[in-house]
Amino acid sequence: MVCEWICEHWIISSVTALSFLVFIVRILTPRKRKSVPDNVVLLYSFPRATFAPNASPFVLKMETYLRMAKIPYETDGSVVFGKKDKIPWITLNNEDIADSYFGIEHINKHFNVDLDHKLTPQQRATSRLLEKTMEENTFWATIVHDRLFDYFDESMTLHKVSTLFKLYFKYYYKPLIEKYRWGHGIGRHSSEEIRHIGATDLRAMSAMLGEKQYFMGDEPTRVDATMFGFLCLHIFGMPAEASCHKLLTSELQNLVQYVYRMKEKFWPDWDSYVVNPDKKEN
Amino acid sequence: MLSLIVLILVSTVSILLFLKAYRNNKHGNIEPIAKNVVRLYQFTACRPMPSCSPFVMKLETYLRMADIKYCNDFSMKFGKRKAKIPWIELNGEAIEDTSFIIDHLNKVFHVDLDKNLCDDDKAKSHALKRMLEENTRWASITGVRFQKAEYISHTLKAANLPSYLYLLFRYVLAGKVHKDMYKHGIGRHSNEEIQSIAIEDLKAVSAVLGSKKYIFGEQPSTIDAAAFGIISNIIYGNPPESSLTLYVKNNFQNLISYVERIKENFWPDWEQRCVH
Repeated sequence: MVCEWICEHWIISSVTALSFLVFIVRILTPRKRKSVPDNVVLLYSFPRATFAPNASPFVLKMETYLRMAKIPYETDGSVVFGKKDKIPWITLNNEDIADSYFGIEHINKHFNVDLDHKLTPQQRATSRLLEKTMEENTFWATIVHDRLFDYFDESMTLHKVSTLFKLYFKYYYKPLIEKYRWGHGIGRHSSEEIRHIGATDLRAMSAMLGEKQYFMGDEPTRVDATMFGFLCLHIFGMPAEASCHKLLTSELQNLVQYVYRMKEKFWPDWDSYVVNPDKKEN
Repeated sequence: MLSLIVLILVSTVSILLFLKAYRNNKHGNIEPIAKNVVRLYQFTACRPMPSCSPFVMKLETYLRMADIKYCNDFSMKFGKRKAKIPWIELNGEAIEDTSFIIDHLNKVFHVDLDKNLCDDDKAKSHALKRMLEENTRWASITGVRFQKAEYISHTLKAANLPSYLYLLFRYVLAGKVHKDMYKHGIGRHSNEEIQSIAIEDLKAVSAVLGSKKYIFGEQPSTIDAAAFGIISNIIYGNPPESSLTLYVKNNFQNLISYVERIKENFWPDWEQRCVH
């Protein structure tokens, strides 16, 4: 009876069987990991983007930090998720460390680096407040909200996402993030409330930067890696209509100038890491 | 067989809907409240402190600091839109989420606890609030109270809930809390990593406070309500034997004195509010 059904519905049966086979083969064949020399960090990231070296603010944070601390590294942009099911993560001397915060802590210990060594305890505290605000709150209210919810179609166009991937983002990824947002808490607010939350955060950050060159003074410190990683995407990685982009470019000029300052200092080779960069005026 | 399953499903759904309607109806006949008096919806009274929710403590402390008249509603009614506690009703309008509530109350009652702060301090106050509420509370409160069986048991007793709910807490609520933490992101770390995150956050708060009376000087400002809500819960609301609470008691003396100070100044009725 089963055989009869399979023969009658041979298309769906063969598609199911093939998918199953592919799945088994992928599980059984261990992925060959890229090898790097000792004491060189291997940074697992997403592929390079068309508007910035990466579309992920956490990847940009980590990569900018590695450049600031002058740590040798290579990247693997083939989308391999770490043990906490996220990207970025790193491998250093065969040890895997997931999460950008713990990755940086580990790198600091291993290479005996401390970009904050000139800061007072109060300044280190301020640095942490800024970092956590950006990563645990502003990120959700601006980048995630504008990209996936308020300006979904425009973001897909900017990121040059293929039709197939667009379906994946729209019918799988977006509902998943909707659930994540609800669990986080921020997803319970209306769109207008979320935009307000993001705007108050960005204005506070602009006030804290003031007229300084970098967030903690005349020299860049650890928090600048985070602030640059996230703010540069507000400028380069968001559609022009996005509220967070408009707020920065119209009202918070010091943050825009800060981004260009960091970009010039730590990413002079920005264009070579961007895939087919757009020729539009920045 | 199929009809039996359908019958069971339909009856379960009907019973649940009936219970929900009954509960809503029961609370439909609330005494009317005077104009310009806030009705604060919060959890039922707890044992070790007036409320084991950092956001309830934040909001109620703020109402006391700002001298705004309010009455408490302990009926465990969750906010309609955002499904959370605390929330308020003022002059017939319901507002949810403590940050939006405080903004609204500031506007209605012309209150500004931050009027003496310079722009830089206002920005710092904002960032400190975000760190405490979007990061520290997960690592130091949510992440601790549901960590293991003894802690879950303590959380249940502290919330003054009957012990027959223990299994529900352990196997249903704890699971939901861990899922929420996973969705937030912080739940992907190990317990030791989560504790290190909490300690680093509290180190930052302690450094910002220093030897001052309140975070920004001699007078309390809005951030003190938020900071008090969270830190008082770590000290009084968490299982006392949990390693983070012990670490805070041994290493952050200024945070302990700070919490005691706010408790003395704004919660003279602390003992009466606790369940004994």
